Amino acid sequence: MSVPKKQPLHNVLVVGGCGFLGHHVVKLLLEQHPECNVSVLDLRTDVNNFPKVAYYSADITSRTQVDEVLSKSKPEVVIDTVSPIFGLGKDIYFKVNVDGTRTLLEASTDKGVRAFVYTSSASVVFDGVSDMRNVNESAPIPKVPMDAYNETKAIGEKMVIDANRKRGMLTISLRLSGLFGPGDRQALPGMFIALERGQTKFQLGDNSNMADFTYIVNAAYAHVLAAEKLLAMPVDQEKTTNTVDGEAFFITNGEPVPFWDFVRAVWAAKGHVAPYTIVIPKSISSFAGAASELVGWLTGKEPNLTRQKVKLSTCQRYFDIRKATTLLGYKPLVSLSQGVLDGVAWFVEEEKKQAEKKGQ
Amino acid sequence: MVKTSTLLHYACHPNQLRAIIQWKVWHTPLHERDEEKESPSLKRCFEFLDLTSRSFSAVIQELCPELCVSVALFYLILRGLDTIEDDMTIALSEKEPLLRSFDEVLDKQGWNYKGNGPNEKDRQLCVEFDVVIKEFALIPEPHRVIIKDITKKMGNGMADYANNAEHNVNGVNTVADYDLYCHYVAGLVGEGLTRLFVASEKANKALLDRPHLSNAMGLFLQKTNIIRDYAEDLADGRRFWPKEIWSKYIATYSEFPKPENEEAALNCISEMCLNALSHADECLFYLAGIREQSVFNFAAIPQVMAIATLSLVFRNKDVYHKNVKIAKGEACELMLEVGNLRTVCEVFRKYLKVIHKKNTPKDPNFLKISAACGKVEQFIESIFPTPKGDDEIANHRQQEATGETPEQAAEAKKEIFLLIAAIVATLFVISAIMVGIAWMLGARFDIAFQELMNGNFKPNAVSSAVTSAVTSAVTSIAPEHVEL
Repeated sequence: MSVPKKQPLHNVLVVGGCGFLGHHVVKLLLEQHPECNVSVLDLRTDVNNFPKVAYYSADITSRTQVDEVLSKSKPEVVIDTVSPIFGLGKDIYFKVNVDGTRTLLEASTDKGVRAFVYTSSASVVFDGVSDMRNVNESAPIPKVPMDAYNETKAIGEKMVIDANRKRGMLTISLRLSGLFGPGDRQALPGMFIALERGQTKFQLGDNSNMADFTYIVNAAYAHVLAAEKLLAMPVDQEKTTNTVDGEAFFITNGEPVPFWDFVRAVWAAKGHVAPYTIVIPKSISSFAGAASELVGWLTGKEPNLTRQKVKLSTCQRYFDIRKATTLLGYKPLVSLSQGVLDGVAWFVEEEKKQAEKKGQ
Repeated sequence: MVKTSTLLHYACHPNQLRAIIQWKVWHTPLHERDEEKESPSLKRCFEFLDLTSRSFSAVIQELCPELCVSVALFYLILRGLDTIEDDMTIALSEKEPLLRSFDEVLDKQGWNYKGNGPNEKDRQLCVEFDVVIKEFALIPEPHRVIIKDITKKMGNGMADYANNAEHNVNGVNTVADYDLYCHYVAGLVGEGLTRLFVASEKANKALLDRPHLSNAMGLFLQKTNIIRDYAEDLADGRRFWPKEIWSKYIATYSEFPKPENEEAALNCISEMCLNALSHADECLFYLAGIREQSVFNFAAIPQVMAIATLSLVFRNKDVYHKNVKIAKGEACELMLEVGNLRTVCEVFRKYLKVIHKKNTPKDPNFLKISAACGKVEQFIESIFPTPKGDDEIANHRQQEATGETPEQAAEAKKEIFLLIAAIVATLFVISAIMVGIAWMLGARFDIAFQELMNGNFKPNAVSSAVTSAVTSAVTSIAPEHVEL
């Protein structure tokens, strides 16, 4: 039996390629596709650099700047991993997620790019209230969006899906959930802060809620797979139930676990196990969250606990990824528990490096 | 003699005691054997079934008539094979050919075997094996073909192990060996039963295209028993836990029971349970393919017992000292709860929660165990989705609480509304009549009302006002009558 030949990738532009997800996509491309010329477009290109990669500093909301980068890098695939972090203003989300995505799409279509891979978020189907149990791609986008982030991600995704097969460009959208791993700026660091503050005894809700987390390497792998799949499609391929272009896919580790189990596993990987647990019921937690927000608002400080955080740590939030496993052939490269170990180990290593720097 | 501890147990778990009584008193089997029509040899076979299998005998005897005898004989044949394999007093030169040709024995009328050691507990079955062979000849041809095929495969598998000196000294080595061993002794039974079910159209024939599902059914049971039987097996000089797993925790297999090794011992059980748990969702998937109630019960009851046992042995240090078993009352409760796939899923959920509760971040496999439980939960959610939306949830809860459908609930609500309306209407009519009579008699409501308006709320004042109103009315009427 012959091993199915891997689709080669010749020229890939990773937009946001110096960010958390983006630089993992770059790294994986270099590992899995040594034949590939990788370029990166990012606002700032001074971090997370790799040798043999061409870096271009540019603003994705500027058509002239994007055109310039596309002319230089001449990509057959554009992987758009741009995603502003949580907790920014509405204007920024609209500018980056909507205007930026539109500019990139239009410029890519005009330049004859063959495949466009878009990083979306599993939260696009979250209304902020309802539990999400084993949700698949048939779930609708809520009429009233939870917040500007989800709203703009959903608009961006729709533009990407609508742009499919316009002048020959194929598009795909990957909805990620709960990214964590080396270079992570939100998930693991947040858990480490709680650990430093000695808050590990507290548990919001009864921990019967399952959540999906995704090790960053698996998320990056899904992007590479998607690019390969789109490029491997014959130009005149008809749209069927098995074609992946113009489709959105949920991507997770496929291992939903009770939310607090994941957090405790992270702490345990750092060598800490809380001696006992104080369970704060969900209703009281929400109230405490609101109170904390109020205090934060009055004092002008960032609140420690918010209703949003309470909601995210007490609601059901896991997905059915069978569409990705069957159509994309996606299978996580790293298990959840290995991911936690690797991710935490990276942070421990970084801390050591920081300490050494300070010592010198 | 009832032990004090047993009494205490049921004092604390009255539900289980109730379950035992319910099972014993009220349980009516779906199908019953017709003993009058049975030949003496078949009766003897069922006696052996009772003697050799405590747990399976009852569920086998309740199977539908098309399968009952075939499955009972299948069980006895494998038990005979097992009795020969187990017996260390039989020389390998005699044992090996016997195991490999056991399927041929099934056609030899009058064949039996008296070579077992005197202490082998099911020795008598082999001594009278001719009754099994006699009845075997009478079951349908397709069933015989299936049973013989499985017997041949299992006999050869057992012979390979009997020949394998390394296995006999050191036990199971890798996890792959462990899976293979369990396949021979249990997975094959699952395969055989599935083929029997499909042959009599009691199960979806798609199950034959997914042999890993029937294999999982066997492996889940076998692995749970292997974990539970650590102490018993070790006492008999046997070790079934794969070295690939236990060697991560300890250097010498027999030293788990030592108090100083407790943490390693508990973590090792965790990994063994994790390994068994990986088959749980496939077992539920398999059960979805069963089409007949008695077959469903037959297949599901051992599975719910297994998940209950697994939750009991999980991180339980007693496993290293004695045979840990679920209470009889709990077993009865489980048998009462098994009815359809949904209730079986609920039972699985219940025991997964027990496992989740005992799981601790100190365990190196903590998150893997969480994920294994999560995988089963996700599978259950995929076949029985939790209703979405508030109305649906409310209905769902109502239904769970009262066992009523939404329509029935609406009907009941309507009835209550009508009842209240009738009461209100009756009260209104009676009040109206009374007020009417008072008015006819000349009650001065205007005065009473006026008094109230003036803030004269005192009962005396009001009642005197009313009384005076009535009196004045009466006196005002009286003279007229007098005049008349």
